[in-house]
Amino acid sequence: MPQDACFTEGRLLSLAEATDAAAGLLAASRLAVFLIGACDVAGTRAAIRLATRVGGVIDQSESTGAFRELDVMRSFGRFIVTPNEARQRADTVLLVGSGLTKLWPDMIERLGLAELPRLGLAPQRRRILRLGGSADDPDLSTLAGQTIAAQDEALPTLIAALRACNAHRPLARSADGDALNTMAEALKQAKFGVIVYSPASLDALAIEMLVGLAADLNKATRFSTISVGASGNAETAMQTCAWMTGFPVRTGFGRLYPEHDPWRFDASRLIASGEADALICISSEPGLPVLPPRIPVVALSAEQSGRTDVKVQITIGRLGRDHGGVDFARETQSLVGRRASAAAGFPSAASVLEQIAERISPGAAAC
Amino acid sequence: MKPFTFTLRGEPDQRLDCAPLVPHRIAPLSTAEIARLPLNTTRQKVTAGDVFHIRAGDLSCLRFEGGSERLDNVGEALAAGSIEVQGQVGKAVGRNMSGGRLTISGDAGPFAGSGMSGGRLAIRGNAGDLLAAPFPGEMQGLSGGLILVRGRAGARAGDRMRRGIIAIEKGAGDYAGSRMIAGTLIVLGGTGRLPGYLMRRGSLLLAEQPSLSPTFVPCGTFPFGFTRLFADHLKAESRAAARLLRGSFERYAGDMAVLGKGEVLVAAH
Repeated sequence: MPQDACFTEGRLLSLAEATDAAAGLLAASRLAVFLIGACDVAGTRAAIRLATRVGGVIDQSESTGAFRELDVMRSFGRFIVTPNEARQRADTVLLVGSGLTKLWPDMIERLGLAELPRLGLAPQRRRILRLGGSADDPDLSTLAGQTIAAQDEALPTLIAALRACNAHRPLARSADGDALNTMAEALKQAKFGVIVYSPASLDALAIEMLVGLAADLNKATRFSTISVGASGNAETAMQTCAWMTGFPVRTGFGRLYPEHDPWRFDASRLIASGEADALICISSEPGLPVLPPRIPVVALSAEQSGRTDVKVQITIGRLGRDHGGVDFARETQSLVGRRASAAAGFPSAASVLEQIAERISPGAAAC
Repeated sequence: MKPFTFTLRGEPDQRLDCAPLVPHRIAPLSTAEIARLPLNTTRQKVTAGDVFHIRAGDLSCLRFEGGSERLDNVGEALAAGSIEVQGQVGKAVGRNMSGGRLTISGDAGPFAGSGMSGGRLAIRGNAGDLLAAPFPGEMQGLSGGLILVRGRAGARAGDRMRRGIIAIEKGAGDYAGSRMIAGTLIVLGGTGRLPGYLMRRGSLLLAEQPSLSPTFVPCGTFPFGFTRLFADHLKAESRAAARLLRGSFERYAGDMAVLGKGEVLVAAH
């Protein structure tokens, strides 16, 4: 391992000293928050095991957007299709909201929006429709057959109006009924339609409305949705936490059994309210989230932050470079294995977290 | 007989789960046993006796002297009797309450009255987001009872409610009455954007003109018979709401994006 990997308050440490310091800090905490950024499955598992041991809370840095999706999934249901399936079959694609290609730069290629669907019933050019987000992406504007321009704030009403048009129900005069009726008719003509949206531009109710539109369309044809959401990092943490505890992230172990509460265990709320008294940030990609000034922070990150507000800094390796592992890939919507390409000797998040856990015996941990 | 009293010793340094402190759960216990009930939500053990100075009294009538934003689940599953909190409360006050009276003199956090099926919950201050809303993953909100908020409510008040009455006297945040299945939500004061979004049935009565989705279709202005009957029913609980209900209303049918059998009634001035 490189010599300059661990610090405390500007002083160099060995890995053993750093994990000792982190363990001491966690053992003394009443409520430690584990905020996971980019982390593979093994690292997430180790973080959850350590949180269980110290009665901590698990959250993920992009979970706010992920919970918008999950709230819809667990209270209403969803139709989901993989990007590969969409590329092969979709003859109609409805793009909703702004910033889709900014969030997913190779979306046009991955979804083959300019190509013919290979497995379409009668191969013909895809029909691309856009609801909102008109000016932000010229490539999409060129592809789109029909665009209803709107700011993101207007999307909840537009989606509702489109859904009402699809069901042949009346609208108030304020809505642009002609354009919406034309778009609703185009959606109905689809043999295999896909709605692409981002939770960054929609709230949970608007997503529920959009998924409801897909559900209504499924009465007569096939329709599904793709969310251009957070990167795969949130999904890695969500799925790993789900199979280990039965719950997604924002799960706490303060009472020694897992409790899930998206409001109570929101890391930013816990920190702002002063309920958390230690924070451990884990990210195998460069960069750390904005950290609170008030509580001690242990940072396991892929690069030295050089920041003085971090109590213990341990440099960890990057997935796919320093060590192999498994994480969730948005491109395939599945877990994928990655090999180490050029190991520089930095330890993985999992191995560091396991070393910290070894230094905290379950009995001695109670404060 | 004097109420059984819990006097808060100071601001707790962790969130507390006050669910055990309801009449039917403490009735079989001695005062010493009540003082030993654990309330902690972290691994630092805290008992009722650590947090409150306890004075014995009538076990069907509890009083909390002093409140905190960190007192969660106050009055959980209250079925009979009364609880009065002189101060504020945290998340999910009156959660799964089925009867009795619960009165909060200060503000309440999110999810007040969540899962409630009966009884009366009165909040003299403001209520947080998701008043009477289901917890994540649950399928229905308020299914009975009366909720009165003398101040404001946050976003999505009455989410997925299917029976019962909510009256909010000083306005509500965005998406009031979202996903309503049935029941009555009355809001005096302004509402945020898109009240009634995704509502299937039910009545949303508003004192001020809202910013409605175009999926609410105007049906005309009428004096409604049922609102006057309702006014008599509510007079003793909220005079301001009763006054609103005696007037005429402009009716909007919606949300046409879903079933379209709900209504938003806006006071006609």
